[in-house]
Amino acid sequence: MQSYILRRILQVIPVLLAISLVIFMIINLAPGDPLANLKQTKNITQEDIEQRRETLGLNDPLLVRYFNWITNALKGNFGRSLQTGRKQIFELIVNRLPATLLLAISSMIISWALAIPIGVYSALNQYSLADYSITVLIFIGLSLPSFFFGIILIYVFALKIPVLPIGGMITPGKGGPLDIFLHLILPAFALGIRGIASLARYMRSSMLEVINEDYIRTAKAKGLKASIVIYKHAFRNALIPIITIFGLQIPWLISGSIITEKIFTWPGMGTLSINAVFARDYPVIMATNMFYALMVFTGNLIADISYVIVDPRIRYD
Amino acid sequence: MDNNKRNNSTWQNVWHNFKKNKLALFGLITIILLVIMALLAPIIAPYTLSEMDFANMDEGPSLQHILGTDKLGRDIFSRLLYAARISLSVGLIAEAIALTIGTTLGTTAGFFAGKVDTLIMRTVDMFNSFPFILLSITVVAVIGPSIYNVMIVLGVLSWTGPCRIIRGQFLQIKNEEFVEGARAMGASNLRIIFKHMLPNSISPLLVSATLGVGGAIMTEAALSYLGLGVQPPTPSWGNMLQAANDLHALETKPWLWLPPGISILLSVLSINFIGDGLRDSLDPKAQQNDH
Repeated sequence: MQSYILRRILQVIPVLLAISLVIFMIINLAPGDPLANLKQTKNITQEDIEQRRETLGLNDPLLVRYFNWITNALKGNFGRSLQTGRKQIFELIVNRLPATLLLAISSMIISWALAIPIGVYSALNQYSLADYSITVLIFIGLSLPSFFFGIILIYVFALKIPVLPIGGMITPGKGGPLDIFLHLILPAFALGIRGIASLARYMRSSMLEVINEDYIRTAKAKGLKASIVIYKHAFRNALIPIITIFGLQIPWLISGSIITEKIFTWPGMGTLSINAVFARDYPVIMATNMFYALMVFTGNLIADISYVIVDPRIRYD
Repeated sequence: MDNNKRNNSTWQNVWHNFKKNKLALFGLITIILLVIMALLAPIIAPYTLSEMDFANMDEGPSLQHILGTDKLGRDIFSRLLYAARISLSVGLIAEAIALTIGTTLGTTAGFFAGKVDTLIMRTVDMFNSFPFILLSITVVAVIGPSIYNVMIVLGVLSWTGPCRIIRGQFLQIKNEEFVEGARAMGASNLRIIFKHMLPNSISPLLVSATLGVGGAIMTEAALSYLGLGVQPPTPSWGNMLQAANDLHALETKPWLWLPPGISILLSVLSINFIGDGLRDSLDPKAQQNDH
């Protein structure tokens, strides 16, 4: 197991390097000039701009610049933002990370807490009206773009029935855990909808598969109470394959969080990266893409490891 | 000839199972209606795309404008129909690009195995570690937002699904008797791939392609909503949703943003119903515990 994890981590190094090279090339083929803003500023002459270009290394050949970037990045130095100049990008990202993690973890909790009972209930009442309605709702959840769902949530719960705050993470002048919690509800649901829907779907079919197994029939036949059969025998076994979804959920959450953060102006990495894209702040774009790639990879790795833990038949030797 | 007949009956069987699935049938009918409305947009639409009704600007639904008008006095219903053309074709073309790349690479990896396979699968790993949305945003912002660039970017970033499916199928069937048989008869590699292996791998690919179109429609909507997709004045469901960016319009003029949002939901929902129905009717095992 340990050697498998180690091998996977070693395997990912070239993959991450390749990703960084690809993103670096794409960004640097861009026609836009990162110093374009300076040209509009008065008191700055052409020589000043040229000098800045030289100090930023913008005149070096592409591969040289990539090599410089990657050697610094490996030391945790992603350079400075072109917009806010002063701050190290690493510091910017580390400051934004807690908000992103809070949002992602909350919607993960919501989706598991809701999806598992929904899926189990649906499976135990297969072909009932409730089961059909849940199935249709699950499909709607899977087909609803998270940003449109976010817009609907804002419309209903913040504008028409103003019970929840929107915009950012805290009310200016207030703060504290309760305030953050209230701000968190809508974005966490907007981001969680897809997870709720797909988890409930997996849970339903996993449960259906298990309750048709021989050992469930045996348990029933030997006279165990229905509740014990369902919760002790069926539910636990149905949950096992679902655990592996946990890792797969991380990439969905990451992609979803970027746009959800933007809609709710949540002060996380997603907002940081979208703003960087609009401002053509290349060093920040580069760094956030790499951070997200690392997070996606970690999610995939967790998924693969959980397959091995859950199903001992899978071997990775 | 015989082979052809068998194929026909297989597809008749699939259709027989498919039409028993009410949700799938609902999806198919909705999508057909949407496509017809999109194709006939110039005939059905009561107004042209850029026609401005200065007497009724920013008005809610009325007899003249059944879904109201935007702040330039343009008819929302007409724009919605034209947007359907754009959004549906972006979805279809993006998925077609993904399928072309994915099938080619998946076929190569599965058929030739060995080093080629390793190289292709490493590339798949790389693409799967890309933060999909952020990278699409980055690339579109870099090469410039336009309808064609969105199609290309979405296609190029989503070929890994079809690629893995085809490779998996090929690895599974390449030692089966009908492939061995074809090889023993002296069939060329290309003939074995196109005549024997691809037709036998089509079912899972069809399901993934269907669902892929829905995914591409959603991503296009997200990009256009952010202003990085289809550019106004060309309407797409995503860029029509930009109206919701203004909190005042969001609260008081739901006719601006609700119709495009519902159109996205309805089309993706229908496509997902179809995909799911196809999966069930193509795979006899799945029918036992799903409805």
